Amino acid sequence: MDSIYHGHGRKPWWIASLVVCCFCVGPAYARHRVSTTSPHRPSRVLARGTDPVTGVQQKSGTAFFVDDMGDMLTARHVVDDCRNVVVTKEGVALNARVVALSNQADLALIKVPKTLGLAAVFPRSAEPSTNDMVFVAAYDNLSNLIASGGLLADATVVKSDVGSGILAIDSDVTFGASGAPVLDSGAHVQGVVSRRTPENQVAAVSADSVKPFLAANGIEIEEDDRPQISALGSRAHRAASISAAVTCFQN
Amino acid sequence: MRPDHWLSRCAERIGSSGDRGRRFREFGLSCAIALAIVSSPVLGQGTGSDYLPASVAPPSWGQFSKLVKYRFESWIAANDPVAKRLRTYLQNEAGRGDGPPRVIRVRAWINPDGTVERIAFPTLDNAQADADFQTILKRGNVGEAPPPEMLQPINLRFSLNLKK
Repeated sequence: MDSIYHGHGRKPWWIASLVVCCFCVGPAYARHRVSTTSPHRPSRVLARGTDPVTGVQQKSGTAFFVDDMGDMLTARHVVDDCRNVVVTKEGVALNARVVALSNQADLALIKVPKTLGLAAVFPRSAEPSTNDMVFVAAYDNLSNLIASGGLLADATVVKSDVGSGILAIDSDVTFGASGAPVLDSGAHVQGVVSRRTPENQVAAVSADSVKPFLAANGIEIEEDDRPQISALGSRAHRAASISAAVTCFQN
Repeated sequence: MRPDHWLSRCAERIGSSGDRGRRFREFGLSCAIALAIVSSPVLGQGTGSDYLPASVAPPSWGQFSKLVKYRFESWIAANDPVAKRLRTYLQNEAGRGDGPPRVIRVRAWINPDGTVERIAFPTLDNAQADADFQTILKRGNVGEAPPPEMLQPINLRFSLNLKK
C-alpha cells in the first residue's frame, strides 16, 4: 500500500489522484479534490478512514516538539474533530491533548505529559530562498531513511513568499507527512507541512506564521540562525529526534 | 581508574585512526547541561582549561548534548529491572552521608554511529549501582552522530535527588 503513496509525476491518473488526496481531509482539500480529481475516489479512503474490522475512524500525521515540556506542533487538519489523539514514538504511546487550533493557518498545538525527543529550533530571521534544499518526511518514513544511512535533503523550495505565510516545496512526501517539520540546511524548522497544492507542490505553513501562533499560546521556542547540526549531519536523523507520529481517533 | 590513564590508553588504541584519535585527545566539552532526573536542574560548568564552555561551543554541539541528555534521562526512567533497581537505590540512599552524592558529573564518549562508547562517573558507593548506571547509560543509541569536530567527552551533570 505504501508504494501507492510514494512518488508522483508520470503515473497513471488514479495514482496522481491518490497523491493529491493524501494530505488533507478538511474542507479546503475537499474543494480541491472536486476540481482536480475523480469524484469516484473519495479522500477518506486515503485518510485511513473507517477500519473495516474495528470500525475505528482515524487519521494520521506527524508532529514535532517545540519545547522540553511536551508541547508539539502539527497540522490542524490532523487533530481537529478527534475523540482521542495519540502520539507515538520509538515504542512509546502517549495520549495528547489538543491545546489550540489556529484560525489563520493549518496549525495545531498539542501537548503530551512529557517530551519524547529534542525540541525544534526555529530560525530567528533567516528565510529560505528559492531552490534551497530542505528535508521533509513523514515520521513513519524516517526509519527507512535512517536505516539507509540518513539524508541531508530530499526536497527543494519552489517559492518562499515572505508575508504569505506559505512555503511551497517540491517534494515526494505523501500521506502521514501533514504536520511534519521542514528542515533547512541548518536543521531549523522553516515550515510545517500542510497539503499538496493543485500545482502538485507541497504547501507548508512558514516559520514566520508558526511563531506568532506559538507565542499566542505561551510557548517559548528556541530561535537561532546559526546551524544546529554539522554540515554533513543527517537531517533525517534530526527530524527523527524532534518528531513523532500523531493519530487522531474520531470515534 | 584515573581519567588521564584512561585517555592515554584510549588514544593509543585509536591513535592511528586520524581524526577520531585526535577527537579523544582533545577533550572535552562541558556542555553545562543538567541531567535532571527530577524537576530541579543543576547547571554544571567545566572549570578546567581543557573544557569548552557551552556558552562558546557551536550550537550543533549544544543540540547534540541536549539529545544525549534526553536519552540518558529516558533510559534511567525506563520501565525495566535494571533501571528500577538503580532508581530504588538512589531514592533510598542519595544524599546520605555514606551514600551516593546528590549531584554527579558524568562524562560520555559517543561513537560516530550514535552508540555510547564509554561512560565515566564517580562511584555511587555501591558496586551494583555503579554497574547498573554503566549498563543503563550504555544500553542504547542516542539517535544521531556527534558532530565530527565536537570535542569529547560530553560532560553532563546529574541530579540524583529522586523523589520517593
